[in-house]
Amino acid sequence: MGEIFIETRDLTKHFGEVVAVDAVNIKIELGKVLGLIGENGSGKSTISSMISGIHTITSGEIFLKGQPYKPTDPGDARKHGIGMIVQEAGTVDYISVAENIFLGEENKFAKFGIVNRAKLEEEARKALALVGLEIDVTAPAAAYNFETRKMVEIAKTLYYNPELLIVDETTTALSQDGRNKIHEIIRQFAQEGKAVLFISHDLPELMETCDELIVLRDGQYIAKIDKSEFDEDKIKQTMVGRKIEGNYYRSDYDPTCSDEVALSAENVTTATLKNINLAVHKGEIVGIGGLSGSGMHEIGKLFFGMEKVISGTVTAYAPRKPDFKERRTIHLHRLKDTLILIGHRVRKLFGKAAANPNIDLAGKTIVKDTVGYNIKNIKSAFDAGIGYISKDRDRETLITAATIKENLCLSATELLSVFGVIPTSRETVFAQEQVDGLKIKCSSPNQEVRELSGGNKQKVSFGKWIGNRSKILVFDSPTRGVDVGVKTTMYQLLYELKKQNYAILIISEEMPELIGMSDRVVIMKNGEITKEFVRSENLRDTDIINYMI
Amino acid sequence: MEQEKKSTDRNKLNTALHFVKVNKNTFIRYGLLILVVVVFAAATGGRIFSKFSISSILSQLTPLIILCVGMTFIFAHGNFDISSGAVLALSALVSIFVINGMGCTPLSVFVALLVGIVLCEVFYLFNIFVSIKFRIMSTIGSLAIMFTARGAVTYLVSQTMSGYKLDDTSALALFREQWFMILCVIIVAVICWLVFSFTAFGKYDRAIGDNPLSSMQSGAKVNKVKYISYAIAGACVGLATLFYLSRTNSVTQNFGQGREMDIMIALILGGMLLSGGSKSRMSAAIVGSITYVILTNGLSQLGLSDAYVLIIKSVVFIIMIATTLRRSSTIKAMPR
Amino acid sequence: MKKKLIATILIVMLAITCMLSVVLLSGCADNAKYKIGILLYNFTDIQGTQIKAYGDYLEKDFDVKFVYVSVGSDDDSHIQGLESCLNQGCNAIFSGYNTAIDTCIEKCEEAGVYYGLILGDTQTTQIASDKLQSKYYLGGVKQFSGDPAATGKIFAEVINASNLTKIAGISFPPFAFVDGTTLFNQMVDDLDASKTLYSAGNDPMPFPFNYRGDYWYFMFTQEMCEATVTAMFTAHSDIEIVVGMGSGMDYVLPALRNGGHNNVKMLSLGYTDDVASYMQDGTLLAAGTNNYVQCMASMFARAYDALESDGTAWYSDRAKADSQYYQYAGADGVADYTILTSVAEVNDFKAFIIGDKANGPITNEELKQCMLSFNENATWASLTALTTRTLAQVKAARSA
Repeated sequence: MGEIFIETRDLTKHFGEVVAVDAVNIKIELGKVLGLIGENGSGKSTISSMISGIHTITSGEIFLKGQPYKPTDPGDARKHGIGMIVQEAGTVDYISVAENIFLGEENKFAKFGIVNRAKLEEEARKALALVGLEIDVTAPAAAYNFETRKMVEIAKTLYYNPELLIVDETTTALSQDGRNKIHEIIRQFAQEGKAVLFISHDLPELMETCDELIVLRDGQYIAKIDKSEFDEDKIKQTMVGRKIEGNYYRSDYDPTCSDEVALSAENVTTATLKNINLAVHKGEIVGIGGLSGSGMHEIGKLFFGMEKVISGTVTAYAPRKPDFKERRTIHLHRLKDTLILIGHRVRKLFGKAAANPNIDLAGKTIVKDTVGYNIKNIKSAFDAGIGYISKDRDRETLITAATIKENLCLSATELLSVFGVIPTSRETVFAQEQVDGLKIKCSSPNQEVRELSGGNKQKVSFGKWIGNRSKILVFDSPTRGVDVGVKTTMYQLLYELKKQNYAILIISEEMPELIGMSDRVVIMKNGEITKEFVRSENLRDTDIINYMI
Repeated sequence: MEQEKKSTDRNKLNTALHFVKVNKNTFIRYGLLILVVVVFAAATGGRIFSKFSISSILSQLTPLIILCVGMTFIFAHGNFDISSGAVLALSALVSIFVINGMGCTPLSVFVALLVGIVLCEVFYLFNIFVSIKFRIMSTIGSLAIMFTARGAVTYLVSQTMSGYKLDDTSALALFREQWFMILCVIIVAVICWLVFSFTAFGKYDRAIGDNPLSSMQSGAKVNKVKYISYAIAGACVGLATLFYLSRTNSVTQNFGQGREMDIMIALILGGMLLSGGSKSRMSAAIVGSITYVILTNGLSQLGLSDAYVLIIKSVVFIIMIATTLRRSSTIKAMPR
Repeated sequence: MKKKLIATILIVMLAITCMLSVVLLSGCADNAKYKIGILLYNFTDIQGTQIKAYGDYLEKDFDVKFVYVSVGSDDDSHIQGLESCLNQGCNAIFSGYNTAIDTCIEKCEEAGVYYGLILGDTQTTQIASDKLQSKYYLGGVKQFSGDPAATGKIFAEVINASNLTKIAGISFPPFAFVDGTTLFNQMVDDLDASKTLYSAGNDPMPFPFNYRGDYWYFMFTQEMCEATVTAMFTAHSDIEIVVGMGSGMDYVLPALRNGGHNNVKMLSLGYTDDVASYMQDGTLLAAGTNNYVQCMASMFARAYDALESDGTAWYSDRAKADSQYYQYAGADGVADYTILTSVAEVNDFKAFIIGDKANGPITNEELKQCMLSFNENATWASLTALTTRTLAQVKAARSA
């Protein structure tokens, strides 16, 4: 057993009324990689934040090599040999890489107030060498992609030669090769006899990298598991505190689906994509994989009309728009339903509760014949009933400052309107339907989306498109930043949707997810499709990876 | 047992607190109105609600509500307009030309209304067109519009001794009728409220204020929504013009000066966020206007000196900004 | 938490402020016989402070209470101020400006309240004829003793007496200051042949402006003034005297200083506390200002008489409302415009015009002698004589 670097005793943290960490005792040993795992809100990041001085401690103590330790800020923690890498980008875009590395430490290189640039840059290169990175340190950070910037951050942390490295969900936003690099750094670091605290959502990643795992749930210490006892199902059960069914992904290996094409790209070339031919059928889940920069995210945008097509056509097949007369019939039907709904509410108001009226918000479905929509912009994609969840969910798909109800209803204005007016009663019914159907955990549909956890936020995004009756779903990184419990629900949901004949396109950086869920896995590289795999039991990520790199 | 009771009590308290927090803006909106009404009723010994005072307040309130209601559409999607005062002046001037030129008939008043509205539409649509086309802040665009309109008014007025006036002051008598004012306010407010709260357009308008990107990906045609918002605002300015004109019957170079600030303060007093977004409510425009007019009338009836009036106004302003400002920090404090 | 605390404190502060104002105002019950409202842009510049000071002085000997309401420069805000006065139960309202005058008179008629212009006259204001003849319209006050040309003459004399020859004028636009044009025209006519007037070369504006296109003009702001001064000196770099009429002390002199034209001499319409020192160092050849006490006195006499007699008191020698003559001179009172040309005069001005009002241009006793309510034999001519006394005459009266 190695020397204990950090020990916590009854470490507790309150955020107002919420207890985020509840009397946790952990030990971090030198020469080992300790993993922290738990669902969203289990307190793992809060613990690391307290150790690294970002948050203050409510009660309890931390000991550093046996001495009481109470960091005042991250700088203080750094002096004590603790370095932390966080999830968000920590570089400043418009200053050089070298300046980024020594941000706030320029005085070290200054003589009489003048910074010695040559020395600064030389030291920066030394720092980057620690992570095996050779780039122009005088270029602004913005000139490099996310992964490189992440490496710069790591280099910055390692430069101060910490004894404890905290890696907090850093890998979530990175592609596979980026992750591999970080894993390598972590392992090498531990081999040098130093300690690592590794926090991640991704269980396989943790199992591969860590020597020990500590499982947290609801801010409490649940269990410590040694590498020899690592078992994915068992850990998951410990995490969620209940038994998770074996079929995390779908269990069948039947790739058959309808012959009917729902979404197709023919010879499409855009600024980043080259000659793309791809069709998604009804009842089919197509998974798209690749490294970052391979153009896979652009495929999603392409199908939602957000990429400028240079040549070729993108077509979606959906029921044609109802004509004037049909629209009138539909809206008359909705009007009737709305009156019933209002009547019901009035009765309820006077205490005469009756069973909720069973109402199909869509009104009468009259139009059955399918036509092709040429997808050139968001409007046409919208008309064709395509739903799209962006990789950057919080910034592009959801309005986090608005309520769940407002978010859900925003994409369903056409469905909810009765002759152009959107009655509140219909909105309420609609929102409640989605909240119930997707089991969104919230105090009420009037809760603001930003107050929800990542998984529930993503459920709201799902609800936006399932709710407005979109039959073609394009989901970019649907399980990004989502914890295991919710992930399972989502996979089940996706499978449900497939069975209901939805056409689904999933873009994901997580290989197991693609293999586990897709009927067809499409691999991209440099803006081109390099390979397609049909669903089979024998498909392994090692087969796929060759076509990505 | 005892502890259990305590914890349910605490839960109840928490629920109540949460309710207050969620509906904070509503509480502030109506709370401030009640505060202003009570304070000034007491301070003026009820004089502020005398028959004369009420009619004076009503005639100031009518155009202000109409303006605020229209501007809400612009503020909701995060744009900003400072040209209303100057556009109002030019529109009033043109209305005078029309009424004086056509003689004092109901028809001429109607034509003046239409011409005024068209003029305002031209300015407002041009403003948003430039702002979208050249991707400049709409505030800058409205600044340019303000100078253009104010310049035109100043030039025209400088050609006369003391401004332009209606030949027949009874031309706009209708707009001084209390029933007509109330009717117009109700019609405009109800229509705008319906459009703002119960149509796809209104919902998109607010969503754009929060996040244009998400709104676009949720089916909002952002530019179209902005154009419609400005068109509504322009129409409201055109209508408000005749109410202001009916009060003065004349236009001098400073006509309408400062109206844009009145609008902004009224909206803020109503609990409107300057950044717009999904928390925008039409009631902010209406309640805020009432609060503002009572506040200004009350202060001036108390005969307080300018300095105090300014201080009180700015204190109220700061309080509103401080209490309605959206805070994202509560979320950041809780990491994943 | 902290922010909430601050918000709470602010709200409490507001509540306290409001409550305080309630207490303060309920404390001073006003039981004066008549309440008179005064509408001005502000009560902080020389105009506002003088009018307020004289109002305080009048309150000592007359059973009246003045209400000072500051109004914005736009039409609607003027009417708001008026409505506020009406609502406070004013019996008469004195306005500094002719903004929206028809509507103001109409509203006053409805409320049975008298309305008068203290810083404007009927002649240069377009008033609808029925409003002009209204019982409730008290008329205006002509400035420059009703004869701006006389001031123009004085200006010409001052310039002729100096040995400088190159002259230019600057003012507000002709429409905004018609008296200024009359003054300037007279001044130009009276200049010696040896003097050169640099003309702005603008388009002339005929009647009613009578502008000959010779002086420069600008739009009411410091920036515009500076731009115009620059234009002036670009056209004629050797200007020696500037006649600054568009508030010479407030706008033109600072513009000259900012432009670096420190050696240029100036004649100014306008007065600030700096006049004495500028006159001392020779920069300022003449300066002047309205006698605001006289403006107020002229209007107050009419308003008080009207209130006492329900509008029936009328000076036998004043024109009747329905006569053609009333259109112009008859409706208006007259006030002097003090021109100062020496430091001694400035000192007298400070002592007798803007100083203590009991020792000022018109004492309450003198005013009563010219009011019908106190003296049946008072005449319009006696009132006019009282309100047009020059600085020298005032000094003589006070020293007697």
